[in-house]
Amino acid sequence: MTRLPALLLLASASAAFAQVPLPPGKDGYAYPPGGKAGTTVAVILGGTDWTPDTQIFVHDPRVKLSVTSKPGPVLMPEPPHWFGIQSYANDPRLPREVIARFEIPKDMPPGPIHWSAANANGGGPGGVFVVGTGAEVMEDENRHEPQELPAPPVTVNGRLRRIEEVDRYRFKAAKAGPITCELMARQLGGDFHAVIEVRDEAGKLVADIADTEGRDPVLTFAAEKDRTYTVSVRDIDHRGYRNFTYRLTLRPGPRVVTAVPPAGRRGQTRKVEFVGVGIATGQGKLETVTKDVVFPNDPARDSFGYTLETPFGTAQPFHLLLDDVTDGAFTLPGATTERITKRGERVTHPFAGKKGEAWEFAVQDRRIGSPLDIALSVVGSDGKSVTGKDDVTGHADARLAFTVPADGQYKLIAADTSGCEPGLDSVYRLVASRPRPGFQLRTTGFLNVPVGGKAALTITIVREGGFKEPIKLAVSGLPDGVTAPKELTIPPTGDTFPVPLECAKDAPATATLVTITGTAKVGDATVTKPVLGDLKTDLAPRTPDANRVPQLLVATTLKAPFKVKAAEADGGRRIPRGSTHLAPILIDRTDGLAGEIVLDMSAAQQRHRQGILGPALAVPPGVKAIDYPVFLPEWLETTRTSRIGLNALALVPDAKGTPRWVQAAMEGQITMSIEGALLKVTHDAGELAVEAGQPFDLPLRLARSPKFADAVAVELVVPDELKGLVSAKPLTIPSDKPAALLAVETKADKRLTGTWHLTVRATGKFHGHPVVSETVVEVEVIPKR
Amino acid sequence: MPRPITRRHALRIGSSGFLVGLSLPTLFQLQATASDGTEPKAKSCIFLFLQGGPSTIDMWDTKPDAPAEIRGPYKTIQTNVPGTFVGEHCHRTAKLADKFTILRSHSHTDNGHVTGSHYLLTGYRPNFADGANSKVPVNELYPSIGSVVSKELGGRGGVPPYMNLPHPLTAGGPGFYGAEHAPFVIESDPVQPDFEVKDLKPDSRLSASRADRRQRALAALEKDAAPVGRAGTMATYYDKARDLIASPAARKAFDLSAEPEKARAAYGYSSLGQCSLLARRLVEAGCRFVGVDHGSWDTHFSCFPSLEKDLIPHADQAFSALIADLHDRGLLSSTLVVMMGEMGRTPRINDKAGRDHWSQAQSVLFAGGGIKPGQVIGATDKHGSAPVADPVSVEDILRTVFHLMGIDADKSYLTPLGRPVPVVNGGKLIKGLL
Repeated sequence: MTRLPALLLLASASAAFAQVPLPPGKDGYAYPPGGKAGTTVAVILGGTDWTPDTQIFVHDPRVKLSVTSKPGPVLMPEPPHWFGIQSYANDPRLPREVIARFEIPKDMPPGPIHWSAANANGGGPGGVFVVGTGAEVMEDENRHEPQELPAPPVTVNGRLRRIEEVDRYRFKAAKAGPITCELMARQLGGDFHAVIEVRDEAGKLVADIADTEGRDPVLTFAAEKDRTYTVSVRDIDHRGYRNFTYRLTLRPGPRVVTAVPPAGRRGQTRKVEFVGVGIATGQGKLETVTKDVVFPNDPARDSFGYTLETPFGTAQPFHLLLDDVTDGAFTLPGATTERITKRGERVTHPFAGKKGEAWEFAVQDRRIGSPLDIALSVVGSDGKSVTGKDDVTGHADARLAFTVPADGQYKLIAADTSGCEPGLDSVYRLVASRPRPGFQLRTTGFLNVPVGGKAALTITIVREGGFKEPIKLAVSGLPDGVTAPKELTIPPTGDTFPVPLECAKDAPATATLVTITGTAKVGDATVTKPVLGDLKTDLAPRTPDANRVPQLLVATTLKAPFKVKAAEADGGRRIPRGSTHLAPILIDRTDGLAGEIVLDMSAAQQRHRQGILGPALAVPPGVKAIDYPVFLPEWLETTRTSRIGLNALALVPDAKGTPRWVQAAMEGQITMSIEGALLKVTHDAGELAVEAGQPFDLPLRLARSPKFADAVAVELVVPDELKGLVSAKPLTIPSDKPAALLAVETKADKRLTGTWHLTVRATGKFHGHPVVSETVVEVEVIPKR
Repeated sequence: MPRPITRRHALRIGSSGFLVGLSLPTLFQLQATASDGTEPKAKSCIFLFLQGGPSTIDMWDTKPDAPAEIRGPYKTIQTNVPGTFVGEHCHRTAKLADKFTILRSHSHTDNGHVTGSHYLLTGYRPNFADGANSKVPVNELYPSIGSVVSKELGGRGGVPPYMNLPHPLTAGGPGFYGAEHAPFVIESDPVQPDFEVKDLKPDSRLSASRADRRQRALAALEKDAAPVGRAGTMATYYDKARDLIASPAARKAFDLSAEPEKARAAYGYSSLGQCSLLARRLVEAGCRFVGVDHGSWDTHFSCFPSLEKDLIPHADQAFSALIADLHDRGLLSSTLVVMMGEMGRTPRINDKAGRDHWSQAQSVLFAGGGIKPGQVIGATDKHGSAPVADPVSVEDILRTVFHLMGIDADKSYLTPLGRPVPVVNGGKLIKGLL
């Protein structure tokens, strides 16, 4: 068939594909995800589409990060495997990992530290590492029983590494009273919804919570003295993956949820009603206590931590807001705190407005611990809506700027959109104030500038209170060879401003953290503010700025001097289960590249939860076409199309002669539909019971497709904990034999006692590539008599 | 040959007490022959469903004189019927063209996979958009073609009347006919070397008498309150499963290893090949309708490697072996074989070297079961984009299949809400096929 290549060429020519460098991707994680101030914490950092020379950056100069290894191989999800819709909907991106350590100074305040990644293909998001203050322990990932914890307070650094994993922790309550279990997961960037359950010694459920809203769960229950409790953590959909990291903090004492009012005037002493779990009776229920609170007269702070002491323990500090107004009835200007009593309630706040007056209405709900999600709108005297606004960018709290269009009566409507059934904690605070002139500057967390090229960093200007002044920008820390105009001034009007960056042709491929500040006159004062870059790593931000950092990652990038394409791009081939598909790949080197190109699995795949695997394959210099081996496990579904995407990498010297890994995605995917296997090994052993130290035979059967006539090598695969205790000499079953006995040896070791699952793996070759089938034998080992 | 009896007459016999003296099988036979007074030719149907949409312009309706971007890379070859040509990769079926008929004028307007499958397999357009329903089966209301056959003809042996291989047809469910007429699905690929239908294996730990005692206990529980709703559906499935496990005929039918190696090789060691062989065994054992689901035909990109290396050779070998085998066993005249997808492919090759969805023209293969073989019915225009005259609709195909099987396509059943739903809503018999 000679006409086909010409036709394909014709088709390809009209679909020119750009070899855009592929920067590090999302879904980064640190494990453990946190550590105590004043310690050095060894961690594994994981990220997607990392090249071997990927650098990690910490967006906090107080913390030192040392990376001590190169990125490892692309990691596949571990068994068990899911099938059907649940599998397709939960296909994770495949990461690589490096070994690193964070050095955290003693005086480091608790909270998140953001990190990100960059290489010669650009910068990309990393993850969050949390600095803690109390006792910390690591999850023992190889345990079979609940992990014993010291008496609270303690923080466990763990992760739900596999699907269907449930992590259990057991502890004894030293005294009677409330204990709070708080989980950070989405705040670390792990895109899962956790469930916490607390059970007593009898297995009876004491308390549970499911994070259905994506805010990370917290619960408080009443513990009894000297009783043992087991806390379990799982995903709401029973998912799990390497980046499903969490920090579970167990803390004795009640928990303050919110306060009425949640704010006070600086220097004022006033009564505050605290709403929390166990704060009045020590029971695991929402209740209130009222205290006189002294609000510090500190103009530099906008909140302070109030520690509520109760007969049942000390609650974690609750952050009360500091303001210049006193909460009371709704007035303009003024502040009020309201509690809603009906689901979806719309609370009306009437006011008189004069034409031209400017007001700013701000709601605090999530920020003060309330479950409400208030949206604001203004209705005129004719009942018609004048304006309305829901969440501020990146957070659920609402803010509304309003200029009165005509003299008259208006109603400010605060409507709850949370859908929650109201409780004692269903409160919100509404602040009406004259707009204060000011500005905020925001941008993306990353910018890539091609070597010898240009790029623009677009700054978004948030103008508050009618602010209309020029803002002078100062840029520092740009990578070598990257320049910005010396004079950069944002004009008095406009919402965005591009900062043009230019990279010299002889610049190296590198990355740095860049700081940009804006200085402007605000009233009589000269105010300087950083441009905040959005990293979007915290998936449950507690404040609008939780994801914003003052240091932006700017990388200079190289062009990919090659084009790689799947010759049968997206055209489905039918492949037997358990075999290797050789997918033809076309390689076109450009721009003088002559060296090796490496093909490896990209992070974004389809159905790899089920174990489809490809190697890092080196394509020697000069080779323009190669078959990429894709292994398809024997358990794959025959009902679905499976695909695999590749990245191509090559070492390319930058302008300074430094070799850098350049990476681009292959055009098209290798597409396969799965048919029945070529080989199947089974056993006739049933459920075996053997005495430790005694050998036994495993009767094996081998079924072969007539298309597959190769001899088959058989080996015993034992779990890590049985290595050296159970073994079998590998054997070869010739092509004309359908059965064999595998002789298994056991050691007379009490560690063997119990029920084990041993895997027998049969491997043959079909067209020179592996065909694999496995069978699992359940063996009960009884102690030697 | 007894004098034909009309459907109305058969129903009258049943309702007026003349049943005495008629055995149940005889009544079934009367019902089967009652539709139009003639004995149906097709006792069974094997429906080879090329899911995704086969590129029939590269197989059964080639356009050698069209421009390269339409005719594609394949040569056209002569079949054993003078004047009938097919694509070069259909060389096996080309040698048997006198035993089947190519319908080149099938056309409809639903370009979605799921919606198109629903339309084809039920005769009714779905009330959801393509991609908006991920359930299997997707036909929650309208019964599939196999379920209609199951309801109208019932079983004729120790195997279920309606089966899907190797997995469920997307729209192969029973709809409002209920679980009794759902397909039995083997959920195992017959090309697998250790193929067996695990559901047919009695639990070795359970003796026959113990299993029987359990069944009696269950029956006693259900005596006073027959399960309804979902519980009723499950009870129906349990009954069907139990009957099947107890059926030596079913176990024998599924035992592909009983086939000589030569026969298995003739069908080809592909999923479609071995499913076709299994379908023949099931028809021999009395199955009325076997739906074989064969995917991967949605060839939008780089379609020619997969068409020429996998898809067409597998279909060519499976179909030709099935026709020859049925013929050799004397079963072809009583077994209707249909091979088609939910749509065809675009005549013009796209910029990714593939062909896209095209429901306006598709060729369908019919063999056996009383059809007139060796023909080409209908034609498409010079680029294969639409029939030049008399397009054959989905309803036409279903009506014709039911007619060949002796099923009254005008019969209506009431849905649970009381709405009458005819077996086929309109359509006409395919001219020249019978």
